[in-house]
Amino acid sequence: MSTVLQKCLDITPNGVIRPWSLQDYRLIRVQPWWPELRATTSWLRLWADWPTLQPQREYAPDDPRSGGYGNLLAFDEQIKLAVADGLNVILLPYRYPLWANGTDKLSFNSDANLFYLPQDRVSFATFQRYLNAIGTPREAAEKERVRGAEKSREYNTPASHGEDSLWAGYVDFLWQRYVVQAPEHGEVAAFEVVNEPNGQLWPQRGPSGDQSSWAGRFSPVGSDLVIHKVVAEMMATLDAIADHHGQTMLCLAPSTSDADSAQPRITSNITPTSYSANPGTFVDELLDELDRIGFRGGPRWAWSFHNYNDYELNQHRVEFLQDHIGKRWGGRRLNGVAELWCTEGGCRLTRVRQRFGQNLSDEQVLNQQAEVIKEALHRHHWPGGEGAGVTMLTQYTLAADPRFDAGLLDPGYAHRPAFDAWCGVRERGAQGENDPVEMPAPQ
Amino acid sequence: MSGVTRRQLLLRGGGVTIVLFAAGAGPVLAQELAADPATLTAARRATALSLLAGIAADPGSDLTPGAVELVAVDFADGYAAAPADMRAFADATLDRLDSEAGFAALSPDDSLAVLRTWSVAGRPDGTTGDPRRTLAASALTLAGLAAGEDELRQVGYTLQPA
Repeated sequence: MSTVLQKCLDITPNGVIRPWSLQDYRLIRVQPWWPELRATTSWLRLWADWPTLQPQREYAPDDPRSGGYGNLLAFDEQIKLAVADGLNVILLPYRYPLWANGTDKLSFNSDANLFYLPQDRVSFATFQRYLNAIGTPREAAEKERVRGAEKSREYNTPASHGEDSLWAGYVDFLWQRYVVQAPEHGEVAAFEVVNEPNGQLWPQRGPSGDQSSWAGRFSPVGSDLVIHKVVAEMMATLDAIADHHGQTMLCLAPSTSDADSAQPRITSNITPTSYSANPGTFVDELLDELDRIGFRGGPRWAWSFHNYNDYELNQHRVEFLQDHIGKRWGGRRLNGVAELWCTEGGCRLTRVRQRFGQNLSDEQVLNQQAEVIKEALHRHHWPGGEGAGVTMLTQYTLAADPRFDAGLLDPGYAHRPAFDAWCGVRERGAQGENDPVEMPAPQ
Repeated sequence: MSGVTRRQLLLRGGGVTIVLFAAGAGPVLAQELAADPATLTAARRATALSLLAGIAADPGSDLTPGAVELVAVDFADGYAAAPADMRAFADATLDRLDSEAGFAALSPDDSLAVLRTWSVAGRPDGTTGDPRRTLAASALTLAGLAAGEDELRQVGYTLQPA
């Protein structure tokens, strides 16, 4: 993590979607253990879930008639309290209301939804099990399996993220509320463009070259990556919004997932690595597209990424990422390389078992999770190797999520050794104090 | 669990299991279940089923009524595979659902109505929250246990306003 050691906590979108859930910052900050965590953590990542904050197209999020108005007020309060507690808030716009991407015409339980681009939403293995079950007693069950496994409609990218798009309007609303009008509604310290576009959003690629069968449609052969163009357009739009308002706030992108997938229609790997035979072209193609549209970056921008594999398995995928970003990225630099903000990471209990043994007891797993957290924080805290350029690491979830159990605490706030491990490593340095901007020379 | 696998038992449904126990037809089985902390009790299984049915009763949710029994089996499997602290959270949440609203006996529509009422209890803003909101949120989060680990970390079940 370079010689800077900044630590961030990600409390998931639940605090916005379900106010007063255990992921609501207002509930977190009054717990007896909170001061110990706060003492060694200075960043908080919060999700501005668009479907929640603007459920109806006809009402702006700050219109009291909006169904999401209460959630917006709850979100305001969480940001204001976090800032009052001395935290720097990273804000990211998240997901799309169905009215904004046109999928409101596809009810969840309809065949129209089930058969809407399944090749971009679910694995062929799952879909094929359904196809093979048609006409058998398993048909209904396998159909439900496909329905439940498909990427949700809220992750379907709309046609445009340009300056006149609905998405731009939402992002401008957030910028005005939490930057221009701050601190009335709460003030954010950084804006992240998107979350894991190479994994969550769909479609990742254009149509397959073989449309003659379902197997053909699920094939990546003959298709081109398209998601990188969406991300480049998002970045350019956010840059224009920042310019319009004359702000110099830190902007982060592209917030990539580090998933290692053999299904390129579902997840786009970011770069090739020695850990995987699966190719990854997302970063190279995103940089190509940024060059093509004339996006320059500059000191406003820093590269963000997620690092579960490095964190959990003691891998060095971040060095492959740096190799591909190289001098092509025109954003902030640190330690002679791109300045990297890791906005998600953590150690899942399942990965502890994968790495250290499936037969570990629950207690051994929890103890080992703590050791992995200490290992990850310490080994990124140097200006070379995997630490070069890395200015912040993030812990995804405080209370464990039943579907992605990397929590510092159990799902009901009870203690885990991971909590002590995280709190036991103090931050060093602070944003702006020791991250001299080493901009590449103009081309 | 001699003769009957846990999955087979779950597929038969909570009500059948309760009848078996009540009739004294499976005392050995009952003892085995009671001794296995990774097995949902019949009462909690019934509450989980009612929770899932309530979610599915919301036409805006990502769960169909036709999938509820299937997902209930997945829930029990997810519970069995979860670490002890996750199971303890599940037990506490399901027990509270039942003690505060008799959840296990509710129809899907009534279950949904309770979840919706709790989800808007009190004010969303302010300095203290209504604990029923927290319970409803925990229940919706817990329902996701059925889906297993989600590498994509998508938002789980949500409810549309009434």
